[in-house]
Parts: sequence; structure tokens; C-alpha cells
Amino acid sequence: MSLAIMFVLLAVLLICGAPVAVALAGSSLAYLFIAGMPPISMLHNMINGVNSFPLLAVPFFIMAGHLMNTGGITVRIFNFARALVGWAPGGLGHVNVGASVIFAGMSGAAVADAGGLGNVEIKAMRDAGYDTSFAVGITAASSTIGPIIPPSLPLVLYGVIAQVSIGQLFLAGIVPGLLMAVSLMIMVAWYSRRRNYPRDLAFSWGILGKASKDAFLPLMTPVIIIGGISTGLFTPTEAAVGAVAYSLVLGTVIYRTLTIRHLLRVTMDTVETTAAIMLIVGAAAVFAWILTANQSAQHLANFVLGFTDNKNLIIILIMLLVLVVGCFMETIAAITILVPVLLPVANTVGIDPVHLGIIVILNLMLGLLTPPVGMVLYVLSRVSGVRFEDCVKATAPFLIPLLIVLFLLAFIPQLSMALPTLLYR
Amino acid sequence: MNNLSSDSEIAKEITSQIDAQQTDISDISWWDAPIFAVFWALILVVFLQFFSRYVLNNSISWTEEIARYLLIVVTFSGATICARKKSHIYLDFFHLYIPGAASRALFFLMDLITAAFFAYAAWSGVMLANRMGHQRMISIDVSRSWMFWAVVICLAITAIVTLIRAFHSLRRPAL
Repeated sequence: MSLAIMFVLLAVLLICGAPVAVALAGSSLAYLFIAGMPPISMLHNMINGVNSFPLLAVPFFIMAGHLMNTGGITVRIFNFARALVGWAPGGLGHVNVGASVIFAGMSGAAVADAGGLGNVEIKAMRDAGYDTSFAVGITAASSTIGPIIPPSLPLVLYGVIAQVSIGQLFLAGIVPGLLMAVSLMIMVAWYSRRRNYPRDLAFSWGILGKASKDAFLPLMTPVIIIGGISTGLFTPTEAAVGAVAYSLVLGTVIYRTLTIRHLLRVTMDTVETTAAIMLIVGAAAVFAWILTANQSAQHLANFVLGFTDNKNLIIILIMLLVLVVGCFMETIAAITILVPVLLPVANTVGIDPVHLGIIVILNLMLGLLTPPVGMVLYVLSRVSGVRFEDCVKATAPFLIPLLIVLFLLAFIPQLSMALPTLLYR
Repeated sequence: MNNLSSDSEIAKEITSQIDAQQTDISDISWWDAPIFAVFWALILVVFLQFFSRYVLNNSISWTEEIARYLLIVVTFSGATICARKKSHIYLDFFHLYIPGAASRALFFLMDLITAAFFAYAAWSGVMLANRMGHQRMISIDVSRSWMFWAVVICLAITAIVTLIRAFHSLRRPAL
């Protein structure tokens, strides 16, 4: 009974627009009162939920992303991608995808990628005569690669909540991220042939050489992060600190673009984003503690298994649920609420938690591209001046290749599991 | 096709556009100084651990525990910023479908609930600090109470700021 009240209260608070953290912790608090348990354990569990060493990766990956999001570095990476893939028909479309892949290796959030790099990409494509809807669509779609390719904030949080190795999750994301890029590039090629889009630069080793030289130091960031983690040299937290230290050195010693003002701005934004995320993580810990104490997730698992124990069917059910929730809920909130509930179901039918993580995050990324809560679309609409409704329409066709990749990943676990199995198991 | 001079013009324009955004600090005040200090302390402590483990080959034992506690303080002190700038993560799709006045009233109600929640959390933080504050940290002989009291102060400030902002946005609705 008190559990039912907790769920109803949570739903009402979320829908009415209370902060997600308050909705989670507040409804848990109501449960504690009704069930006659000490309400002090709310704050105690909330603090304990944040008290974790792996979670330290969160502020540092956010900060590294902000430090890398300067005009100079963004343009260097864009030019490198241009020299690398711009020679194909529809060149800037391919460049858009390529630059997103590189940026994905430096920052961990799709929305941030859309805000910084997306600005450059849309402007360049408009100036080169592409129609705006194509530019917006491919920019939105390619920004979702960010949280699949490591480093990735959603994967860090998934790892902490599901108690799975974050290193394995990161490795599992590499192949799926590249698959997404390939599928989007196929889409670009198809569009380019139909609409006769121009080539960008003719390929030349000279231009590529110069662009690589310019972009070499920023390009080392993903190499350090992914290389360090996959060889087991760094833990994800250490890689995150390393990325911060490296980008600080780049900004102060090499490029000398980092001013005190910029540093204050980055600190402010990092603390703000970190707090917004970590409050939800803490609040979700209270919520999950109550669910665990009542074995709610286990009951749900038994309930679902009463209908079917077909692994593929359950994967489809999970994907449908996450897809729908992802359309309404912000990524971090969705992970913290859904994962504790879904994990026992997945475990009982033998879905690997690492595999589940990749599917869930990719599902939620698609939610960023759909109304009503498509964060990436909001950001791009603001950056490009295109109306939100038009951004939705422009992005819709690009959901098709991403959905195909999602299904491939769901039913061929080896695609995501091969790398972590090879290096960790 | 490859007009280099216009290309570098565009690059310059975009660079300055992004950098102007990145150096606007009009929303930062001296009140944020303690928060910034805690955050940079966190960076230094974790870097110290990194440094001592890889360069000195002898990791300092207390860094991990202190870092976790600093992360807790950063989280709750950041809550005050989220309250001030209304940058908590929330869902707004329902508000897209109801009239403006109703949406404003509902947000006001949610602000009151949020303020009440943080106020209650601050109060239970006092109890928690009294009960757990005498414990010592595991790796270093320092009391844990500073962490609890820092959290209590942050929660209280968050509650007050949320309340002020609630009436503020009620009076000046056109945001």
C-alpha cells in the first residue's frame, strides 16, 4: 500500500515538473513516513548514494568536455574531419558524422556535443549550400554517438547503478558507436546521390597532413582516454582526471587560450551540471534502497517471467519500455529509475548487464531526438534558429539507420561484447 | 569550391562566437567562491592520488576517502546553484499542454514543495550530524562531522534560495 502511494506520488511530482531529484527523494520520504521507518534514513541513503569513488568520473568528464569545447579546438577537429572524409559526395555530411565520432572520444554528453560542434557544423553546411533540414538532421543524429563511444557519462552512471565494470562498458561502446557512424554515413551517401550534394575539398595528402598536424594534440585526448582504459593502465576515474589535466595543459601552455574568465565559466558549469546529475543519483539511491528492501524489482521480474521467458521477447519489451520512457524523460533520470527495475529481469533470462547497458543507453539517445523532451533538438533549435517542429521533422528520417543499428546490437550481442570479452574476461 | 579566405573568416567568426559564450561570467558572484574552492580542492586531491600512484609509486592513503567526501560537498553545494539558476533537471512536457497561468501556478507549487523538501532534509541533516558526527574517518584521524555540517548548510541555503526564487518568478512571470 505504502509502495503504491510512493509510486503515484513519484509519477505526479514528475509530471507536474518538480525537480527529478526532489520527486524521487520526496516520494521515498513519504514512503518512510507511512511505513513508519525512520525518515532520517532518506538523507543518509542520499549521501551514501553519492559517496562513491567511480562517480568521481562524472565531474571530471564533464569538465574535460567543457575545457575541450573551445572555438579553437572545435574548428581544428572539424577541419581534420573535413580533410579526412570531405572528398566524398555530400562531403560535409560525412564530415559532420566523423567530427562527432572524434568529439565523442573527448566528451561524454550528447547535448554538449550538439551545442558546441553542432554550431560549427550547421553553419558550415548552410554556407556550402546544403538545405538546413539536412544539416540539422544529420547534426542531431550524429550527436547521439557521443554517449555510446567512451568516455560517456550515461555509461558511468549505468555502471555505478548496475554495479558493472565501467571499463567494460566503455569498451563495449566502441563498436556500436562506430556502427552508428557507418549507418549514418550510408544515409548521407544515399541522400547525396539523390540530391546531388557537392563534394567538399578534393582529397590531398598535403591538406590532410596539415590538418592532422593542427589537430594532433586534441586528437590525443581520445587516444589517452580509450587507450588508457582498454589497456587497464587507468581506471575510468583516473582517465577522467588525466583528460582534465591534459586539456588544462593544452589550454594554458600550448594554445594559451585559457583565461581566468574561461576557467571560472568552466568551473561554474561543471559544478552546476555535476550537482544536477549527482542529486538525482543520490535521490535514486534512496528510491532503489526502498525497492530492494521490498524486493519490488524481483516481484516485477517474476511477474514478467510469468508471461514469457523468451530472451528475445524480453529484450524487445525492455527496448519498447525504455524507448517510450526516453521520449518523456531526461537520460540520467531514466537510467536511475529504470535500471534498478530492469536489471533483475534481464539477469534472470541471461542478458549480460554490459550488453543491456549499451542497448538501454542507445534507446535513451533516440529519445533525445524525439519530442516532447528531445533535448538535442531543443539545443539545435536554439543554435540554428530553426523552429523546434522543423527540427523534429528534419531529424525523423535519420532515426531509421539508428533504429536498424539498435536492433542489430540488441540481437547480436557479440557486436558489443566482443571487445570487453577479449580484453577483460 | 575551396575558397580558403572565406573559410578562415568563418572559422574566426565561429571561434569568437563559441569563446564569447565560454567567457561570459555575468552570473558568477563572490558568493560562489567557497563552492569553487571545494571543487578545486577536489581536483587537487584526486590529482594528488593520480600523481602519487603513477609518479611516486606510492599512493597516499587518505586521498580516496577525502575525495569522496569532497564530492558529496560539491554535490550539495552545487544544489544551491541549481536552485538559484533553476537548472535542476525536471520534466516539462506536461507544461507544454496546459495554459500559461496554470503552468506558472503549478511551477510555483512545485517550488514550494522543493523548498519544503530541502528544508526538511536540512533538519534531518542536523540529526544525522549529531548522531554520526562523532565518527572518525577510516584512513585519517579527522572527524566526519565537517562533511555533515557542510551538507546541512548547503541544504538550508538551497531551501531558502528556492523559496525566494519561487516568489520571484511568480511576480515576474514573463521569463
